[in-house]
Amino acid sequence: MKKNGCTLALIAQRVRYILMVIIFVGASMLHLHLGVRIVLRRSIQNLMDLHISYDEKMRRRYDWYYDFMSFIRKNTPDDATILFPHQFVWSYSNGYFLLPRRLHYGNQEILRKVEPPVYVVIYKEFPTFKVEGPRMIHDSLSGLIHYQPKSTGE
Amino acid sequence: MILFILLLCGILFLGNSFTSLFKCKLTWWERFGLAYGLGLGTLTFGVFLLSLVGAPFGKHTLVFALVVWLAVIWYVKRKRRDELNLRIHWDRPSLPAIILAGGILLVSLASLFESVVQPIWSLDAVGNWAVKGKAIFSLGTVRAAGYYGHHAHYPLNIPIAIALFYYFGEPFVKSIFPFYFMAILMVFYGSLRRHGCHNAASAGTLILALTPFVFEHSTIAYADLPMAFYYTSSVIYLYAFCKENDRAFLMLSSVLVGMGCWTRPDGPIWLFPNLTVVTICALRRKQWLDPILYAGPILFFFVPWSVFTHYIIKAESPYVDTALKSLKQLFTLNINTAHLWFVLCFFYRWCLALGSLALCWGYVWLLFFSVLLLYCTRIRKYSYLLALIGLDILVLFFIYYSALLDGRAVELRGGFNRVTLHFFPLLLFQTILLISDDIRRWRSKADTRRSY
Repeated sequence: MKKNGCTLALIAQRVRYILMVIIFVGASMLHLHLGVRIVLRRSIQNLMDLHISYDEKMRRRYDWYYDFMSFIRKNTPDDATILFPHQFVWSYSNGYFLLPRRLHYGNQEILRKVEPPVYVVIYKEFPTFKVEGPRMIHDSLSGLIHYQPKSTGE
Repeated sequence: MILFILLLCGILFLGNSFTSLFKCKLTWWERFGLAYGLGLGTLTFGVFLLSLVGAPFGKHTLVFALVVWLAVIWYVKRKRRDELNLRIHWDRPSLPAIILAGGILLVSLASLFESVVQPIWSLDAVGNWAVKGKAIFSLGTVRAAGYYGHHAHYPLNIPIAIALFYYFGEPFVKSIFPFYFMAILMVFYGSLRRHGCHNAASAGTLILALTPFVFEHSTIAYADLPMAFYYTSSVIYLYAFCKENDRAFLMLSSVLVGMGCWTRPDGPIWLFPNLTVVTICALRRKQWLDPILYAGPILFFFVPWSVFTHYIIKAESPYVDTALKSLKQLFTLNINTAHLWFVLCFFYRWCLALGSLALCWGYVWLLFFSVLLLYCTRIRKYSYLLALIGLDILVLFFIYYSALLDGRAVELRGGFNRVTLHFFPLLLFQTILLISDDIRRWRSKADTRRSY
């Protein structure tokens, strides 16, 4: 009787071991197949991207926005202050592309408080107030104004 | 390039010196993996502490922080009369282990390659982590991080590390993350070896390396993989403490979870499972000091940052209010059943890797639950580790439920998936431990039969 019990326990252990091997190998194979496919696909893509420039890679992700940020970067000095319309406040990446320039969001009130050189972004209807200074056009939607107020003494 | 290698060596040396303070019996792999994570974490924390007393961010501050940390470690070692141990224990690997190690190395290289070729472009990386790092680097002050990117209350471990790597150009910045990837694989593999697993440890590490979501995070500049590194390692060493009752492991786990709090804003919430298990362990062993000892290093990393956010930059975390609101709901049993049902359905899809979720989670949950079901008789042996995993799931459930109260249901699939990155290594760790027991037993039986 005891011997039978021992044999049964041994059989149960063996069955469990075989089941474990089947489950482990099966799930691992499914998992590895998925992983290898993804890693390979991405590595091939990276190999193809080797000759592509940084600008082109960023443009692929950010499209118009990256071009506009590059335009601002090229046309403003590092110590510039840039006034953006309010809708840009949600685009947290502005700082990433334009640092170390100081960025402000809002209306003409800010223009009185900041140190020159100051630039105002043109975007759709913005700026809704009068800004004196030369204009640089990026496209039909956007551009930049180098804010140069006429001094009141003149 | 030479300067970059020198910086890496400096980080590894600092991390290794820091790890050696704990006097744990670690494998070579674990020492190497921990050296990177602990070295970078302590260095960025040192820079942050120096910035609190007005030091600007720059090469001098970095070197000063490195020298001060090394001096403190050297002083502690001298006081304790520690011996310098440079001996490396190396056992000959088997053929399957070599083949699997080759696979792991290839995946790690693929991750490093992608991080060098592709610029930082992910939305949160550009809008939060990298912009803060760039602000610190370009404006020369750690406080600049508070004015750029969203979430000023997010800890600065990764932004300061990014600022540090910016000295060598953008491709080097992204290399922070593949190095964390390699570090997590090393700690995972080394600790499994320490627990007596051999070929299964290699197989488990390869599965972890090829988990789509983990690989993805090793190539983008998010703080989730570093957080997974710190939290997973803390759980692994907490389990080692529970098993071996060696306080060195307890302290190591505490420092790691403390660094987790210095890495991501959700770090403090993951303290709950660890502190609960430490308290249970202390009650059972009548070692009343253990929870206090465990809290010490955590507070060392957590308090300066909290003081900085509350009193200096005045950036309050919005999540605290949401968490309190949902805690109140849960305690007063005023539960929103629709939200509960939504989270349960999400968990169900998640665990069974249904649909698009399979593409990021792979089959880790399925593997874990099947093996756990098969070895349900051995649950007692791993009660502490399973309790940690169970409490982690409870915390996750709480995070998801709170997020729904906040009206962020859409984020469950995208943003919130990232919070659970540490589940992959933990579930695999437990699965491999369960499997290895059986493999060892059958192997010893076969050996005995052969010797007859």
